[in-house]
Amino acid sequence: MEELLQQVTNGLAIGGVYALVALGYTMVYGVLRLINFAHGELFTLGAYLGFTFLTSAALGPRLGTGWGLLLLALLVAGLVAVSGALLERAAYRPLREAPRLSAVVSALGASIFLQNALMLGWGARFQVYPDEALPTSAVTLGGTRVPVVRLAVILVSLALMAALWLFVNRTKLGTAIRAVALDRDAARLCGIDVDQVVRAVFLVGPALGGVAGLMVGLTYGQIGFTMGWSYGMKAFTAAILGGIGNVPGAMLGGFLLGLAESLGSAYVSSAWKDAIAFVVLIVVLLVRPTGILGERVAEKA
Amino acid sequence: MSFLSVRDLAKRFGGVKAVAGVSFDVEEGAIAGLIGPNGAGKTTVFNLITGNTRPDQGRVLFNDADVTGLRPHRIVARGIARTFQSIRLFGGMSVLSNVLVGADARLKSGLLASFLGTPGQRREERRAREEALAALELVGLADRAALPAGSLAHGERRRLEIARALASHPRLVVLDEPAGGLNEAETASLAALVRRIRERGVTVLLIEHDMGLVMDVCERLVVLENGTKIAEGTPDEIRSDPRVGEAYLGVEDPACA
Amino acid sequence: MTRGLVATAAAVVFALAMTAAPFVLSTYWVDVLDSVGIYALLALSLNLILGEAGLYDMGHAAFFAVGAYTTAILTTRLGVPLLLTLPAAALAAGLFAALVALPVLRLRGDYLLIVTVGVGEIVRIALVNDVGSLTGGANGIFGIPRPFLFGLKLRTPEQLFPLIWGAVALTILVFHRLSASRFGRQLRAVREDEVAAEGSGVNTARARLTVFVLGSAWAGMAGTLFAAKMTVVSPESFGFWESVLVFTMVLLGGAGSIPGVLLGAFLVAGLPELFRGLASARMLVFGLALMVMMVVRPGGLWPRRARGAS
Repeated sequence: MEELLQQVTNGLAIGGVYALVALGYTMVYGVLRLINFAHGELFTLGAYLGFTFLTSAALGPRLGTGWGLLLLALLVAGLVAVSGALLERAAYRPLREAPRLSAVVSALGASIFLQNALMLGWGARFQVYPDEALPTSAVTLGGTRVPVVRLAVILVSLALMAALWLFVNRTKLGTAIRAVALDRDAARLCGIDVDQVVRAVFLVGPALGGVAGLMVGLTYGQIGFTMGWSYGMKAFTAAILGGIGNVPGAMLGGFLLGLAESLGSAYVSSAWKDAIAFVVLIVVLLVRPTGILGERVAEKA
Repeated sequence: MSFLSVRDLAKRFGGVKAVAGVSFDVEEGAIAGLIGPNGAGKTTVFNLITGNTRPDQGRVLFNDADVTGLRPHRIVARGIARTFQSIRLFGGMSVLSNVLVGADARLKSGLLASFLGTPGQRREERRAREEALAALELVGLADRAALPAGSLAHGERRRLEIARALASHPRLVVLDEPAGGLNEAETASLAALVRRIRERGVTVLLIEHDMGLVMDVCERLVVLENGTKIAEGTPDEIRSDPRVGEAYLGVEDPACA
Repeated sequence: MTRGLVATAAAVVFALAMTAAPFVLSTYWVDVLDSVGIYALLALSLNLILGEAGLYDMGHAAFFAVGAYTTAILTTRLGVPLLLTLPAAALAAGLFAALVALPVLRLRGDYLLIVTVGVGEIVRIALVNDVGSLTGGANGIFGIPRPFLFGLKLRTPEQLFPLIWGAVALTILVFHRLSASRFGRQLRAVREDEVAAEGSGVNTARARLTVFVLGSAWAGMAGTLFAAKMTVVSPESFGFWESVLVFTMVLLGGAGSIPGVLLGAFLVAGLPELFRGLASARMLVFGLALMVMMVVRPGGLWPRRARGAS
């Protein structure tokens, strides 16, 4: 029971991270039908920026605690969002009307470019978040001690998702995003500024991904320049699992994968941990070829 | 038994009854038309015949065999070829290749023969090419054979789709709005083409909004409204049928007026 | 017509240059060319799946791995002469592809892409976990014997060169024929418009399955040659990165075009060698180059043209 609670909270925390990253993939996919392979690197960038701020002599001590962490998260989110906007401008906008596969290759190129830029900037070795920045306290929950940081990650990701949900469903820009995701041409005919929607999506998605990277740094301490590929692939898997282009689907898919991975590696086999996500994906797509919440595509002649 | 016999076909999409129990027959060698206002279920009936959609209920009998629910390529093999309302060509392939894909349905050479380039495979390939060129000749596109299909003008695309359908040597072609987007001159030459196709022994069933064309070439018409058949007969009978006039009343599409 | 002439001339020059290569280049560069040749085999086989049929397969390394491991196991455990394992490698990779294809191939576009990525990862992790105690875990299998050809043991890069590039030449010939045949046309029809293809009499499900199995089996045979060249196989040679490299080779050169794909193999596998001077920045340059080239030439460097019977 104790073990189970540990695994469930752990799964929800990592699932929250997957979900936040998955949202970036799914929103971009929704409006552009593009797999933004470089999104994983934006997530890594968030982790590294957090590391840099926390280890800087001037800022570190102020940002490591309480409201400072909130400020840190905002800083990271803002900088990663700007990077995302630049990425869109450089790598994707010129290919908006090009064949789809060209954009896929450009996205792969952007991912490789960013990954190696991260390596050149911060070094090829793993970096470790400073000890004093890592909250070590734990709370007792159902007789088990659960690290505070884990609960915080779950709560923060839920809060961010709630905020995103409100943004997408309650604001004019959010409605425009949904409209473009449904049918880009029809949305344009209705007078929606598609370029503005694309810009918004490339700000919001990377911001969420950057915060997710920061949370991974704070939770596990150790970060590396290639982490974007494994987290990114799993987060994209989560987006597909929930139904690509579908915002609640990405959230659901993220938590589902996090739980499956955590419980699977604890009770089935830890050696196969990294394969669990893909096995779950294949099984789900067998039953629902467009994901759990994905629309059912009727064959139209 | 009839050549093509549609028996009590029905299909729902979600809660919408697109086709609700439609039956009609087409005789061999005929030029038949399926007409009706927008949303009457004409294209759905076509898709049910050609296997693109599976019916909820009913049968499609062709040439004394039940072909209901077969996959589209099986239907083509049985001798029913089609064109699409929205024109679906292989835009990145040449005009000739588009037609060859239709002709390929009848070729027999397997993968290994293609690997080795056996004499039999080459002979077959040569013959397919001759037949494809003949089909292009028939629709008047022989001089366009080497161009990419995507570069053709709208009217030429319609004709290329017909050539591709004919290349499979069908006994029945099903044309979904072949005059859609054509000008008057093109429509007139389409009417001539439809007759030429029939002269070659191919039965024609078409959906059309252009009443001039329908009344001109079709010998029998089936009229659909809201997924059911409301009339059937010769063009003259249909013209004087009060129910048909009613169905078309108030329809904005000028092509239907 | 001039384009045909240019292509023919380019082919002749290329063939001559490749024939001369092992005699004039240093052993180091011949070894690089051997690697390029194996990548070319992978890229040409993926081109059938991705370029001709338009199936987004980003897990080609999985089938490469199945072939390489089949060869490694048969040679080291059963003492089968290496080149005789080619059919077994093709069969194993092809059967695995068929197994994967049954549930997966009906998926569309990007769904297929991520699932093939997943299959690639599952295979890699299975190899690391030493499935059936056959794959040697993370260390892999070493001591794979050298191949014999006409009684000659192929040991040096120069000796392996004719074997590898002979296989490439044969592959080009066979795939060129295939592409010009009715099967090739049907694949392109499936890629262009699946509904129209089915409606024109193409058994699209069978075409997709056939090309997926064929391309994967070919990757399996490339795996045999890889095992022969390296004498060691280990999971790290068959990761996501390898699949990505082969994927970019096909698209960079021009999907569906054999010269384009060859060019892609040379650029992606060979250019980083030329950029060795850039040291750790060379992958940065590679990523940038991919972006720039797709922006400048979205259809690839040597795209396929629709003309004649193509």
